Amino acid sequence: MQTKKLQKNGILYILTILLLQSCGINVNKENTKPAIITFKQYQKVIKNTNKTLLVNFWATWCKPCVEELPYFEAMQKKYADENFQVLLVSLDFLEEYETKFLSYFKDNQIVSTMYLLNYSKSNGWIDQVNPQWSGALPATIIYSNEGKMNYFNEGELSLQQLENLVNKFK
Amino acid sequence: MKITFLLILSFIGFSILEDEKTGYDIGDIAADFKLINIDDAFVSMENYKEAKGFVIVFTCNHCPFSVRYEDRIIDLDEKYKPLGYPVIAISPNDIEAFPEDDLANMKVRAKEKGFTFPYLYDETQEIAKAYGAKKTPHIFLLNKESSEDMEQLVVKYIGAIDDDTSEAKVEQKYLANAIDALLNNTEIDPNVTKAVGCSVKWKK
Repeated sequence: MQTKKLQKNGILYILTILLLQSCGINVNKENTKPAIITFKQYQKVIKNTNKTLLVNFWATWCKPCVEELPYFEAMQKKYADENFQVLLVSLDFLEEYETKFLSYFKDNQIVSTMYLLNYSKSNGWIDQVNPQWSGALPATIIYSNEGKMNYFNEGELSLQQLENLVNKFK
Repeated sequence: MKITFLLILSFIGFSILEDEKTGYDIGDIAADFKLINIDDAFVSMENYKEAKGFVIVFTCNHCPFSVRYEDRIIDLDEKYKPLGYPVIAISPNDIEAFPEDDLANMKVRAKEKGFTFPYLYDETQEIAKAYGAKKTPHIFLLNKESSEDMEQLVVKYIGAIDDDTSEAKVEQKYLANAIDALLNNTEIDPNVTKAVGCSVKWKK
């Protein structure tokens, strides 16, 4: 009986791991595709990463976003360590995952952790990110390693601004 | 003396608040405008004597988010114009940043899509700033109300058209529900919503 229970727990454990992996709660590895996450999953990532997180909400259809995206990549390349990480959260249209989003990800060889947020029907999520945010893209947030929001900006940033921010909050 | 002092204080306080305020909230009085339309004529809300109110849509050519809503904006105009709430679309972007948003391209887009409503160009961006338009599309539903023999345009709803960029998946038609509520004299709920959009590009 006891062994059966253990086996059952073991199977559940493996299934959970598989499920988490299939949900993409993992960093982009080579040849993997960025995961589509829900807003709840986003909140979990913010809470459980235990690093200072530089988050950028963007989309391939947003011109100023695409202009500043290389700056975020530069921050990831220069500063990422056990205490700091860049998270790029795309608000691309779900049906353009392959055609626009994934091709951008591949063509630009993105190194930062990237997700596509499925925000459909998650009403109020913009206010949950920050009541000051109108929903306009791009938007940038810096979270502490405990998931506390230390900085918010609606609109684009220059490379120098971003570098100063990272040095201030990292 | 004391009262004068208090009055002055409250006046100063009020002006500070006025200065800091960016854009309209529900219940605010919206400003009329005189902006150039795609037919080169100027449009103001005061020209619409019969209207009960207006659906002001800040939108633009270049933003894919706006493009996805074009058909829905036409449908809203066709449904609600006869009921007294016509759509007026306003394009607020800096055309140096987005040349595809200039008046010539607005004319082309309006013709292609068969816009049934004015599509105005807010060249100075003053109207977008006064209203507090941050992104496209961004909706301000106005209702004509009389106060002391003055007709005023009161802001009744601010935000999104509905709850999904994909028309087939829409469950909540926030804007249509808000206009219906005005027509039926019932409460607008919700009267503020938020959706993702392209940020308005301000002139430098």
